[in-house]
Amino acid sequence: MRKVYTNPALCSGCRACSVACALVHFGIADDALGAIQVVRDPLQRYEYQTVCRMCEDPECVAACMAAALARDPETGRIIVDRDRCIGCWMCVMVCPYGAVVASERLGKAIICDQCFEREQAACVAACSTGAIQMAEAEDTAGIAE
Amino acid sequence: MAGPIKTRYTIVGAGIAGIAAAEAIRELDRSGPLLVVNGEGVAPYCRPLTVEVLTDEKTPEEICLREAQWFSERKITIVTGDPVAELRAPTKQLLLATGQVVAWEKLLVAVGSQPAGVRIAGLEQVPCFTLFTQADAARLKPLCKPGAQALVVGIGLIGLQALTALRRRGVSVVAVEVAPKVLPMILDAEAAGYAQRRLEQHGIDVRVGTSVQELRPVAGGRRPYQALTSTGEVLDFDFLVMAVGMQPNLILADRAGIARGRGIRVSPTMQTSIPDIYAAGDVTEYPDWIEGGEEVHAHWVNAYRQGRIAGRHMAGGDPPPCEPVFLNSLRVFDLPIITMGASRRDALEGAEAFVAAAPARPAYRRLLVRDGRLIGATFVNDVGEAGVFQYLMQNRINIGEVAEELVNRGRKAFEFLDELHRQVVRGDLEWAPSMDLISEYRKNHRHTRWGHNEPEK
Ligand SMILES: Cc1cc2nc3c(=O)[nH]c(=O)nc-3n(C[C@H](O)[C@H](O)[C@H](O)COP(=O)(O)OP(=O)(O)OC[C@H]3O[C@@H](n4cnc5c(N)ncnc54)[C@H](O)[C@@H]3O)c2cc1C
Repeated sequence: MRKVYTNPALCSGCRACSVACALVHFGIADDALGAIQVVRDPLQRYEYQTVCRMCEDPECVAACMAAALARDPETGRIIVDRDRCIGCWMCVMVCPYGAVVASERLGKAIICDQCFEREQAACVAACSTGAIQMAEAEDTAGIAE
Repeated sequence: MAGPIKTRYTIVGAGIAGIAAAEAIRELDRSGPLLVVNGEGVAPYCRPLTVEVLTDEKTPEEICLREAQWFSERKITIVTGDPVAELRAPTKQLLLATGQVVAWEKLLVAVGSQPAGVRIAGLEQVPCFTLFTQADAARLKPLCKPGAQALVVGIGLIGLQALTALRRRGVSVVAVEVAPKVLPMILDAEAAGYAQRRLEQHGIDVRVGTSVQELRPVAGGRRPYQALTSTGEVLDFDFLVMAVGMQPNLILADRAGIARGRGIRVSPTMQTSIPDIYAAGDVTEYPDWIEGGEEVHAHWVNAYRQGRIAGRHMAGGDPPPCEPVFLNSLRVFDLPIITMGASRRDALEGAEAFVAAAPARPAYRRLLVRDGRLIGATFVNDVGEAGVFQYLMQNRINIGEVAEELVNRGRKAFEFLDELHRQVVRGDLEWAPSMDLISEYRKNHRHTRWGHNEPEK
């Protein structure tokens, strides 16, 4: 099961990943539409990427009222049915990683699909510092107690 | 009439709590006879989305919670339109309205809630609606025409959803709330201010600190009905929507002698006071670890989680208990709001409030922290990463040191979250192996651990 990994220590905060993701999925160079986001503390120079961690028992899917989210058991990715999604942000409310993007522009949730149809994930290709990588997942949930 | 239907598990109510339980039972027991009985004569549906049906954004089919096939695939029998009339605990049976008897070994009461009412003089003389079920939405729909004037009584979650739907259909709305702020059970005064302004921008006539004293029909008036308010005003309207809260459906439980307060009392594994009878969802009450007392945590996520716990325990599993907190995700027209825990409190004994400083756009983020634990959180117009806070609250993680940084998205907060969310990355995953720049950088820094960036000693 392949998965996007991020390393905040290598992130420069340029948001090329978000833009590349938005371009590939929506054809729009709007970083706000990227399934990977970079949260920043500009004053103290810290950059932190948020992207779906592919939980085995995803809280977002459980919380979805509109039955718009599902977990694909084969690839482990979370599928968003945009026709069903109503932008109620229940998924945003429960994702422990803050990795669901609440797009007010679309009125829909955006969740990383691991670029499953592409050989290389768009964000990984766009990252100039190597702060994002794609690898086979060893664990899927991975919340340290 | 044929003899009793014999089941191992019977679930009363096919809301999200009942469905989640059925799903959980089937994860552990694939074949034990499982019956779901629902009072409403339609396929199980998503209750909050009835509002979308009212505005024609969804069809009734589209808000179906689980289709017939879902039940048949799992060998679950579902009966709709035949409510349970009586619950017989000593003989482990129940009686449906049609007279059918059902025998059960384990029973789940997941009958949800109904709209609460208030007594207002003259109420029976005016057209009064509620918005809880699909049938309610269907009744209300023909009245939702541009130009119509509605009076919404109560600006809580359901009042908000009702008035939003009415407005979207072109209805003029005046809404009264007895508390001094809108959404009083959800928002603190500051957040409620944001919400109220947004309502007013969208043309809602909002009257807080106001109750309706009397209702009456008027002949030859601007509108056929009038309300007299506690502030001495007269409000004209065509129809009224009552949205003063909810109350658990306790009739069955009371007749069966199940212990209850405002809702059915349940153990951490959702067992009631009677052996082999469980309860989950809006019908239950549970000690609220944040505020102390018993609370009815009537929201979707809680109903789902409790349903799952009940189902697993009924099927012999050992589910981890989950202590409910209040969780709300709502939308005041285009203003998204997420709240958790004691968010409605302006202040709480022993708790400190942390408010985000200088937000980039009009937004409000506030954390309430007591003894290092997050006990309340509010996000207005900036709901990103709200789920992180849900996780911190639910797991009672000590955030005392970083609360201020968390609300402001500061460096220390992210380092803290890195530590918390550390992933086990494959040992041979090399970060940026090809880049000289990075290799140089890596010589001087360790980042073998997630989020750590310390110079080598
Ligand atoms: C208009 C509206 C909007 C809402 N919006 C939100 C929201 O945005 N977010 C949120 O978190 N929550 C929201 N809620 C609350 C949420 O819908 C409930 O918390 C949730 O549906 C509770 O699920 P439940 O399974 O416990 O009960 P219910 O969904 O009420 O299901 C109970 C079922 O039991 C059936 N039943 C009752 N009595 C009997 C009987 N005697 N025999 C057989 N069947 C019976 C009922 O017909 C019903 O189908 C909203 C509620 C309403 C009404």
